[in-house]
Amino acid sequence: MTLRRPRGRRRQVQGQAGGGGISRRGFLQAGSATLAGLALARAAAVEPGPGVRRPNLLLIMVDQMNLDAMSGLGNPHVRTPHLDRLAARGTLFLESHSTNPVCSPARSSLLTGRMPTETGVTQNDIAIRAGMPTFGEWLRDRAGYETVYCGKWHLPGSIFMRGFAGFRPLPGGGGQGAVDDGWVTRSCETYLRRRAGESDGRPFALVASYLQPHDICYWMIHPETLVSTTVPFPRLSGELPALPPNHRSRPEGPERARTPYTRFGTDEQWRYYLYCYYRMVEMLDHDVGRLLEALADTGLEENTLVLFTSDHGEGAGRHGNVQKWHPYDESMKVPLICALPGRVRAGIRDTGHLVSGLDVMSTFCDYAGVAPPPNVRGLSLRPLLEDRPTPWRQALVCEWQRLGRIVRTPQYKLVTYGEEQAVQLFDLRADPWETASVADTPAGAALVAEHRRVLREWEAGLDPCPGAPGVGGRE
Amino acid sequence: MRHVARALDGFRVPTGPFDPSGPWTATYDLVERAFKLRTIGALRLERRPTAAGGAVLRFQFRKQGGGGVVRAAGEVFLAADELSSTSGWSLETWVADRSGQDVAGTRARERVEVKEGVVRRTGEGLAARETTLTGPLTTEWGLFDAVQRLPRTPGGEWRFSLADRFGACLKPGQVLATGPALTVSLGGRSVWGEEARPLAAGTVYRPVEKAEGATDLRLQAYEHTGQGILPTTYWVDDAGRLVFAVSGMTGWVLNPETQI
Repeated sequence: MTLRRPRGRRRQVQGQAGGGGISRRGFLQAGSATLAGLALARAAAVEPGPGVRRPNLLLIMVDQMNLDAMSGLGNPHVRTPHLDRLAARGTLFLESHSTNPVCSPARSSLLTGRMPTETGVTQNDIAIRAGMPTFGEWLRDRAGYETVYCGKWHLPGSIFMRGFAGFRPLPGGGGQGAVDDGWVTRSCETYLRRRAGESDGRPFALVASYLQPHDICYWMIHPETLVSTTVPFPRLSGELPALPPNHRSRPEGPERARTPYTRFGTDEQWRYYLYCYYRMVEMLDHDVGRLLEALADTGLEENTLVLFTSDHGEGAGRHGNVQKWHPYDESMKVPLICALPGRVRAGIRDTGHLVSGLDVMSTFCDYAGVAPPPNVRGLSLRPLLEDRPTPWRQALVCEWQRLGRIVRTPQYKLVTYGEEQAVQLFDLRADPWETASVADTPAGAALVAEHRRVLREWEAGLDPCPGAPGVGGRE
Repeated sequence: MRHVARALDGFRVPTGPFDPSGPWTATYDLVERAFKLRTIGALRLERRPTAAGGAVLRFQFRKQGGGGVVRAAGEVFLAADELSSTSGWSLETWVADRSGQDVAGTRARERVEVKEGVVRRTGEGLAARETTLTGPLTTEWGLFDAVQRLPRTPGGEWRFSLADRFGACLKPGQVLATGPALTVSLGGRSVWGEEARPLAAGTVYRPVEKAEGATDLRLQAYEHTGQGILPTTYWVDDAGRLVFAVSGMTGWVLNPETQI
């Protein structure tokens, strides 16, 4: 069996930017003015709902999970019954993107609602810009939430120092996913048990930050022992996943676009690598399942908004890639699921709205009944989750590596390579596996120009962090 | 096993009689090689046979984690069958600080009963939860016990569900199969020597690492694959002792000197 691009079989929602797409004129009209102005307009519109019970917030943040690494999306190589159940009782966004496919930059956006260029976290292990609040600080100080965090942090400074960045840390985690993720679950469960016994009326915002399926990184670091040239377990030969359809694709573009991080010599090694990746996703699924069971068994599920997402995806053999860092969808697109019984629509697969890690802060603030911090770039997902009409962005800008940019519109995706002039443009409707750039086709030049204009206007509205690597356009 | 082979440097080959069906105690180092090989935790198992033919397996575990040392202790009730399937377990988990004191608010207890395919879990602050499974259910530590008595006939295969993560995660679709047998040289110490390679223009000498004072140990492998686990190999010596288990980048190495 082979992989197909995920398409919702449940009820689909196609937003304004949805499956019918947007005409060139519509794109031009809707373009970047909408993109820049929406967040501001939405921030002003937030009002605490009188009499509405504020929900607890549970962010389940995972590391390096592909959007389509879920059995519920038709992937035959992995079994994720717990995530599938979560998706069935909530809304799953299929156009969900990382702001930057590297751990720390993406996490800085998830925590602040700002682009990595603004947080200053343009590569791993840089601290978030001083004075830029995380949702931990914001919800604690403005909305009275108890804000707690457990698991992978991956920003400088130990989370265990002085309630770092607005969160009280829970013990657990701190190592690799295969061993430590179980302790993240245990620690969060113990916290939930205690919270269920308290009745001070103060809601909580809990981050359960899992490491899996990030362990797969070490399969590339130590291929000689972890992905040997013969499949180490012969009886698995019949179970190894098929290679993705774009495994050998090297789309036209700058040299580095065609240079994958390939480390494996044989198809069988690639397939064993994928086999291990999907087992890690399953490990994660079971840990998340236990956490969700704890939420239910403590009676907290009924008033807790669960938001599940990943910092970025994984190459998974597509374009011959492993790991992240690249601008293709396998790195950029991530699952994003929201569930809240009775309030968030259940069984929805949203295929039309372009959403991003930027939107977590605004969504949490909306449900907490407070306006988000000034200049957040994200939008609250709440109107989409509750089926209320809302204007939505027509284009989404992401960053990759330090200088690369991606402009995603309903049909197209422009990839820029920093100081290099050459770009890639993919027609995702005709070519969902990104196998051929159409930048140099007769229609491509105008589309590239339009997308570049959107990018310029978006970037003109940002507040770049002085001194951060890559900010200012140079490495 | 190659991935964590360095963990076997200085390995003390176990000697003396061992009865896998009797009472025994074993301690293991938990090792992990992400960037570098590290010992990250330890496990102690103590098996006590029961009059009914099964056994009680007591376990203690520790691992350094963020914010302290995570600890677990409890016991698993094992049936007298090939897979040491379980009729239940009890578990207590907590986090200790550097001085060994509990970190406040981290202690939790739970009990699990398994009866006629229904797994019933209860714990303080939790509503009881029942999960139905088909086929035998065994625990991760129950497997440590089971592989010590399984037949070594090629082609052996056992199917079961796994209570993983100290019973937190019930994973169906598991298969344990007899793997290869091999002899390895263990113990002793690594020394650098030279290997001569004659070429047309002369002899080339290159440095090679050799084990000095090593002991040959014959090992039987059992290979475990299934949902939600990385392929895992259990290595059992001729006496029936489980001496290593390796799963991806983590491994368990028998070490009688390990303290919990």
